[in-house]
Amino acid sequence: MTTKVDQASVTQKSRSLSGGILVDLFVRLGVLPFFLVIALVVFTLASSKFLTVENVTNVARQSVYLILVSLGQMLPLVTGGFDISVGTTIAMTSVVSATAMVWVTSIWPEAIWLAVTVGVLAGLGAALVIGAVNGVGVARFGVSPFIMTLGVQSVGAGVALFITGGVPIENLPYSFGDFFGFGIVWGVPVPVLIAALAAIVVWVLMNRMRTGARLYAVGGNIKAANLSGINTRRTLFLAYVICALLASVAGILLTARVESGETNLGGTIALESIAACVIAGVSLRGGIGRVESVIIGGFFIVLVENGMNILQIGSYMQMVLLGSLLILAVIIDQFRYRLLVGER
Amino acid sequence: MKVRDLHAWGVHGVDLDIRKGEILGIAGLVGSGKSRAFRAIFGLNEILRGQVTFQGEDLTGARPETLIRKGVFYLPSDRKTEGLVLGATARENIALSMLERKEARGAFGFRSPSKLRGMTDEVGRRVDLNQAFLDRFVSKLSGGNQQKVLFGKGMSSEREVYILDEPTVGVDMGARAAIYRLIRQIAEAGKAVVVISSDLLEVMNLSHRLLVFANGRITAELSGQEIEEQAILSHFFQHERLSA
Repeated sequence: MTTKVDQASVTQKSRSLSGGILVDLFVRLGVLPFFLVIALVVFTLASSKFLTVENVTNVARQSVYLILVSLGQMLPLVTGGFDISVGTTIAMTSVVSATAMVWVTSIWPEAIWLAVTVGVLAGLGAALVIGAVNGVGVARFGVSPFIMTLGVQSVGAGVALFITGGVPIENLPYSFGDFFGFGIVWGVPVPVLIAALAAIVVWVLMNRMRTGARLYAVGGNIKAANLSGINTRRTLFLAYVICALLASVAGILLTARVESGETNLGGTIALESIAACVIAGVSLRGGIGRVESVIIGGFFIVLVENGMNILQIGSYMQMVLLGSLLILAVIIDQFRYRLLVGER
Repeated sequence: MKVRDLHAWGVHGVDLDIRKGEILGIAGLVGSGKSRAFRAIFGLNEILRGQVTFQGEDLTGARPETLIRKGVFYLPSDRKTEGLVLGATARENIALSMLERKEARGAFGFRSPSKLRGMTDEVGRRVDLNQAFLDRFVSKLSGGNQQKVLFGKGMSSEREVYILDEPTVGVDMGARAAIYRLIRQIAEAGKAVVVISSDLLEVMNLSHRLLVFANGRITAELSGQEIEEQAILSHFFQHERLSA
């Protein structure tokens, strides 16, 4: 009898231990590990083409752009906001950088790298303006991030269409596309290299710099951050500016990839980047999120899209699934927050 | 710190001095303006008129981060809403107030987790917080330990003035005694301490000098033997009697 009781209690203990580990994993990393395992199992069982070195490498390459934008999106999310205007930032970067490159080339046809440099700087400058407008609106005037970035998204899209008249800007210097779009340095594609560099910079920012601690604090409790001596306005402003700059880098790489300035680049990236972050455990309530997880989150979204393409799921149904995934991740995030903070 | 003719929302012409090594008690009924006055001094509420000077510098209307940089600490009455980042650990909460300290930085001026760990351990010991609690989410700690974390934030850097708004609210007897000990230690170290409290017994026992607030004004200044329950209570309602 004693033995039976002991066995039962040991089984119960081991069950609660494994349950405890799962709960701990869930609290620390969010829903991402579980979603990733489910996606890998489902798509691998459904198609033999999915889990191959070639396909996974392809997904890694394709996910570079989303990872860059998601790394940026993480910052406003960590402060308790979000940036819907990242798609517009990409479009504006594309249009402005392409226009600048074509303009410089028309004056100095031989100065290819000058044109590329001016184009890249002009694109980053356009993004800086968008980020600063978002930052001032949210941080200085207290406009809700949703309304502010939605408004800027509309304004930016209108300006981009006004500049181009809806026509792609072509005849960019070949060197631009050859290097930023298809270039390989030390055996690694340039976009992958740039994304890796951006990931390191953002990791250092969030984990080793005072700015990172301030961003987490502002999102965790803005009043407590204020009483800890943190300039909350400057911190919020910085979050939106850095987010726009990272989206702009993605915009430059995408422009180089398609070799033209386009207003329709980054059409769905706002939703995808928010989904990538939330699935990666960045709380919509702010204050919580890890850079490493966001990188995997961006990879995960592209992996799911790739899996759906392999299974020949139509693009309309893909939108339905992606939206549903985001809603599910947000619902699960609510449970996670309750477990973390112990409140209902 | 000197405050002269302070006017803010619900505060009408307050004059007071905060002195080194002294515990200044602030008593008053709820709505008497005692908390509002100090929130205005700390830059949380707007100052309509008057002057706040600290170490000869005019800090009227300065933002909280400026006052914190100058060595003023404010402990809010509502620790969950204003004091703590509930989704962070006790250690992370304390470390927030150490961000500007050069000792917390390592190579290239980056934050050094190991140095911060050592510094937060030390603060944890100073405020009598069990070391095992430092790495727990602050939301999971008891009210007393949460309050100790807030005191830890105050002790994480050099401060000259401690403004403590309801420092023992929602705290059990054991933690209350530890907090009283801490408050006395801070004053004995030559720092200025302001204790704003609705608990009459608490503020009477702690204070070297006591200001009574009623209707947004100071109605009495008591010290030593004058700090006595009947005297304080009579001053709580003095203004109403005068206006009647």
